[in-house]
Parts: sequence; C-alpha cells; structure tokens
Amino acid sequence: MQSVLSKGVGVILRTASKHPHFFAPAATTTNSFILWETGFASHGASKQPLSSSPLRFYSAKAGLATAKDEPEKSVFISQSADIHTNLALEDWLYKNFNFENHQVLLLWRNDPCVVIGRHQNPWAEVDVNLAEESKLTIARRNSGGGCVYHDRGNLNCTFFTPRAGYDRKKNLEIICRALDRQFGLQAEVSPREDVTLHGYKQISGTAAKLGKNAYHHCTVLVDADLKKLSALLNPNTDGLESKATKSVKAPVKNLKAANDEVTVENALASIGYEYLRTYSDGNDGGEELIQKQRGFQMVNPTNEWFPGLDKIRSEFKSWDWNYGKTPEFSFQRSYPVGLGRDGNIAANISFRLNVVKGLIQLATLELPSEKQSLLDPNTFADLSAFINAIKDRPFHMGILATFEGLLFKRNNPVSLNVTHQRIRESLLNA
Amino acid sequence: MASLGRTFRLLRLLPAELQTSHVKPALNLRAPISSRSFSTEELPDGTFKASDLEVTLTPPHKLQAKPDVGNLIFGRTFTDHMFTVEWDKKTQWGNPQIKPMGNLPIHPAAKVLHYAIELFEGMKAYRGVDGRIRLFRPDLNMKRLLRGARRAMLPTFDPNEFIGCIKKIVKLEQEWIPHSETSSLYIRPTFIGTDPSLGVALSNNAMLYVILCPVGPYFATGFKPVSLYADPQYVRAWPGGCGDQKLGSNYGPTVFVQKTAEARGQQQVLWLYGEDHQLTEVGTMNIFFVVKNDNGERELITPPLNGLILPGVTRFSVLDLCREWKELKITERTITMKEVKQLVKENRLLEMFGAGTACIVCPVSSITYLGEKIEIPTAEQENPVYMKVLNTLSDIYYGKLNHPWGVLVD
Repeated sequence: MQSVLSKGVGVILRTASKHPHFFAPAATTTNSFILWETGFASHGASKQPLSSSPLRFYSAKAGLATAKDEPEKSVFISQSADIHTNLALEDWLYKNFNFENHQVLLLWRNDPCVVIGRHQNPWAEVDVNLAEESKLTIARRNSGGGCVYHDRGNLNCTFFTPRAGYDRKKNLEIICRALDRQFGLQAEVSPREDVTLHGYKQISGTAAKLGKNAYHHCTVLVDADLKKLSALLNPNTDGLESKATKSVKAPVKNLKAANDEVTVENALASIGYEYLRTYSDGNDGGEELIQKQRGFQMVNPTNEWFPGLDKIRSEFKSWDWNYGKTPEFSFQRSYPVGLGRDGNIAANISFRLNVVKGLIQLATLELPSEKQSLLDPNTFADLSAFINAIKDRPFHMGILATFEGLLFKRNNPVSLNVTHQRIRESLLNA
Repeated sequence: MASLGRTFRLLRLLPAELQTSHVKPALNLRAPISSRSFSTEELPDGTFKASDLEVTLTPPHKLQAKPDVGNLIFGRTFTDHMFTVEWDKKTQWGNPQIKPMGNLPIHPAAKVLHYAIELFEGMKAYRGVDGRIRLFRPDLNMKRLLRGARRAMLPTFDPNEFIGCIKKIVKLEQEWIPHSETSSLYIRPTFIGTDPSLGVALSNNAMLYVILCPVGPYFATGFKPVSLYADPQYVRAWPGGCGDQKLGSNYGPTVFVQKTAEARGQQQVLWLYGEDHQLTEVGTMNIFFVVKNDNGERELITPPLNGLILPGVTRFSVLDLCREWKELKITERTITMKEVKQLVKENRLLEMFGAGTACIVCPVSSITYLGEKIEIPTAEQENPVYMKVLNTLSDIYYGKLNHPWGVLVD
C-alpha cells in the first residue's frame, strides 16, 4: 500500500512486506503511518514544502525526554576521503566517546584503496605491484576479517555502541530496510551475516571490534569500479604459504546495477534516516523517532577537532603497522637450471624466504650439491651475495624480480637455453 | 484571590506614571528562575513550551562542511540548524521550531527594520573535559532578556522553557564544538518586533530566534593586552536611556567610534560619561580595576549598575568569585579619569581588565586620553587577579570544577 502523500517523492512507505523479519509487525507499522497522517493535518501551517530531492523533510512534534533506556542517535559524515584519516577517526571515536546514551553511525568514503584485515597478509590478498603502479594505498584496519576494495563509489558504515549494545545483524537489517524503503531493493542478511541481493554479495566485508565500546563496520557497494576490484584482489600467490586470515571470495555487484537511481549520496541519506528511525531493539520508530534524535552532522577529522587524531593516523600510516603486522609466512619459488644431455631440465634451484613481521628473517638458495656446476659461477656469486644482502630487509615482490633478473642474466648461456626451453614448452602447451 | 493580590503588588513595583492597566506588569526576576515555575498571571503574553518543539533535521546534502578550527572566525560560520518561535497578539506564542539554518522571511515594514525593536543575548556552550556540553549561568541571560523585552515592549515567556529549547538545539549541534579545550559554541538568542506596519508603536508581532556560531580560541595568538582610546565626546549610555539593556540600537552607533579609535592606532574604545569623565565600559565589555587603596589594601573596583552599565554575566561572575575568595575588598562605585591618572602616578593602579563572554577577561595596557597615553601595568603583575578569574572560569566552563554555574545540556 503506497502512501498517497508520497506521490512525486521517492520515499515509499510500506505497511506490508514480503520479508517480515525486516519490518516491525504490521500493527506497529500501521500505527506509525496513521500518526504521520495526523501530523500532516494538524501541522498544516508549519509543513515543509515537498522538495524535489527524493528524501522528504520530516516535520513532527518532538518530545524532549526520550525513554530513559533509549539512546539518542547521531549520523556522522566524514569530510575526509583519506583512508588513514578515516581509520584514525574511527579509532578515535571508539576510544574516546561514551556511547551509553548517544549512539553513532559513521558514514565515510575513501579515495581508491585496498583495506586488509588486522591479521591478513597483504601479499596474499592484494596484487601489491599493481596497487603500487596505480598509486593505490594498501591499509590495514584494526578489525579482523577479509580484504576489501574502497573507492568513492563505495560507502562505509560504522555502527558504534557500548559493548552491551553490539548487534551486527540488527545493523545489517537497518541497511536492508533502508534499501527497500528508498529503492525497492530486496536485500537479505545471509546466514554468514553478509548482505546479499539476488544471491550476490552487496556489502563486501563486515568486521567488528569489541572492547569497552564496540564498533561494527561494513561496506556498501553502490557504484564501485568492480574491474579494478577483481584485478587488485586476485594476486598470484604461487609459493606463498601463510597462516594469516584468508578472505572469503564471493561475487559482488553494485547496487546501481540493480536500481539505476541509487547514488552514494542518496544511499548515504537513506541509510542514515533508517538508522535514526530505528529503536535500539531493532523496531521501526517512524518519523516520530527521527525528531527525537540528534540528526546528521558533518565531521572534520583534523587534530584540532579531535586532539590526538594525528598520532593515531601516523600509526595507521606506518610501515610497521601495514606490513610489519603481517603474520609469519614463507615464500618459495623454484626455477629450472641447466639442460641435461637428453634435453630435460637438469635440476631446480629453489629460492626460499621466511618473513617475520614483514622482514626477511631467513633467505635460502637450494641447489643439489652435485649440480652446482650447472650454474655459472658469476651467477652463483651474485645470487649468494643477494641472499645475504636481503636478510633483515623488508619483504616486497621486487625481491623476486631481482632474483629472477640475476638468475636469467643474458650473458649466461645456460640460463639463455633455459629461457628458450621454457618458451618452447609454453608454445607446445598452448 | 491570591493571584489578584500578586498582580496588584507587582504593579506597585512600577514607577508611578506607568501604573496603568494596559502596560504589562514586570515579571518578578529577583529570585533565581531555575528553581521555580511561572504562573499564568505572571505570563500575560503566554508562553511556548520546549516539549512542543517541532524539529526538522537538516538533510545530509544541505549540511555545511566544517572548517579547520583555525578558520573559525567569530560570527562568520553558523551551524546547520536554527531555533525560531513566533508571537502575535491574537494567538500568542506559536509552536517553537528547530529547522535548517536559512533566511528569515520578513515584511519590509517590520518594526525591527525601522525602529530597531530588537534585543539580543550572548552566551556560550562549552565541551567539558568529560566530553559533556555545559551552558554557563543561562538563567542570568534569561533575566536580562526578559527585562529588555519589557523595555522594548516585546512579549514575555517562561525562561525555563526557553532554556529547554536552547539545550535541545545545542545538543543537536554539539559536534560543532571541537573536542579540544579551547573552543566553544556561541549562542545568539535574538528577539525582534516583526509587526508589518509603520508607526512608532507597540509591535503586535514578534519573533524569538537562536543562531549558533562555533568559535575558536579568542586569543589565538596568545594573551595580548589591549590599548584603549577614550574620547569624552562620545557617549554610549546616559541616565534615563537603555544602556543597561542589551538592545541592538545601543551597538550600531558604536562602530563609528571603534573606527576612530583604530584610526588613532588603538584597539578598543573606553566609554566615558559625564563632566567628570567616569569610566563605564570598554568596547562591549564591563571593566574592573585592581588598586591599592588609601588604606593600603588591595581593592577591586567596578562601575555600579546605575543605569549606564550593562549587567554582564561575566561581570557578575567576577564579583561573585572575588567575594568568595575574600582576598580583595570589593567595591561597586564610579571611577573617573582623574582618579585613574592619580592612581597610575602613585603606582597604585595594579590591573585594569575588561570582562565579557567573548574573551572572558581582557587585560588593558594603556589608555590614550586627551592627547596623553597612560600606561597601565596590568600585564606586569605577578599572580594577577584577572588570570585567577580566567583560570577559575575556564575550569568551570570545561567541567574541571564541578560548579552549579555549569549547566549540562543533557
């Protein structure tokens, strides 16, 4: 049943729903609808003109005192698009705010970057070379979980509550209700607590942190560059062995593809209003409840507005945090060297690294001892020197490239043959 | 019957020539207002109620980005919402509203535009070290506003309800106050006569509104004392006038005088009155003097509330604190330029400072008067009174000192 008064306006008030667990029981919803109609009649003089934007201004009577156990809510919108600044802002609020009577939803967007979970291995999750070439930041966040791609077409939502009020499912249901109410999109919360649309994962990456306070954050793919996403999040992990958290990959889709009217701005507004109109027990409070809240606020994350923010930001930006916190892993590649009389590969040289806290703890070169002669002595010397030089240095994929460069130097006839051999093999296999 | 008696008693408080039935009786503002409720007889123009507030939240796409704290120039940046409530003679007070900040629709004949039927207030909300927001002695601003309303013939209202509305809008706008200890939210309640008819007469329509400005630290570049310019030809207030009310019409004409002071290389105007050149106020602040008096004791002197002086909230607070500390003799009396010059000559004028909401206290370094520059050693004192006042008031504002003057908004 559509509201007659919403004609010409994008907001559709539904009193019935195909997904009963997203909406309050029909009775409550009907009541709030009637209240709204009454409000319209008695406040005719003060009614706001229906604006042309899809979200209408709500105007109704407000009570000063909310029920004692119902916290007041704010929606904060970050003015920064820098991932490190926003991560620092999130951390600042988590550490410094008291959310007992005042709960906050922080909405933020970032310039293109990749965000890995607290216990992840960037090299296992991201094509680091591609990220560096595209001048994309790789940032480690403070909460666990998997890896996500951010750009301006992606909306981040962080729900702050005291520890006792932490409830991921309720938060995701708010998002689903907002998408339905505003855009008619039937999103669902999956058993794994992801939000899916038609079986595709819309909200990529939901993660949380619990302490005295709690936050639950998630992303909403509205209009992100999905090509870049798949290019960056599918690295070559041959030879990489790690116990770090591995992302669970799932197919993703932009909301805009399902409904062309969705933009990040109106998704932001719709999720914000839905958050404000939802009671802490998950029920819909309607426009009545919105009037009792503190509304939307822009937030400027600088050190002067939030003393101590710069310190947190520099930690999030440091190499020690982003790469140094990588759990221990090993990296190994083998290369064929030499040709036997019968044209087969004579032996394999193995390059193996052990990386702890992002630094190369151990670097080894392995070659069967009797086959050492297969390697040009200059090459062997170069490789040995290289192995020694990289110990205790930060790990990066360029090390592999350098190793390969030294091994396959042009003036090494053996290596040249090997290269031809490889090409021949690859042509045969094609 | 009792209420009738009270009305008659209130009428007796009026000067004889005003004891006519069609002039509104004065609200009894002697006692603290927060501890009591106002009866309907005391509110002949009715009142609005904070519980009737209609809130229209500014939608996200209309929010203003917050500037850097360093760019928060006083009075230039406003918050996202404003409070308004209207009154007309027939239907009395309408419903109070909080709505997105925007222009006011006003008829060109509105009395405020022609005859300056306007009052305003100035107060601040501070974010304490506990993260909570506090107002400072809002009941004093309410009293002053209501007294001024009577003078401007604007309607009365229940001050506690207005404080309730101010608390609500400050709560909505609290993220406009940085989380550091040097900034605040300046609150500007404004009361205007909007009757759309020409004629110097009582305004049958009024609007009370509140706008808010985030302000950074007043002394951004450190605490620098100011130089004053005193010219007896310019008079800010006079007996029988309304210099003791916060009417806009008192301030408009002072801009010209401020410019003449600046043209002479001085920073603020020292307002003098009378043949004996009494010192009354500095710029828009009250003044205080710390002197070593004839008996060798340290004395705090400030001009009395004789009709020429605006009863400042900071002024009351300085007097209340100094009385509590019992370190100085406190005297409210007039002081003349002749006396000041004599005290300076005898090295007995220790400090001179202004007191106001904007800067809390403002030390004075010199007065330029009739071609002479008089140096005042305010900044040279050890443990000056003005620093002690500043530190104590700051501690109260920012919640470091738990004090009834700091009123929480939630």
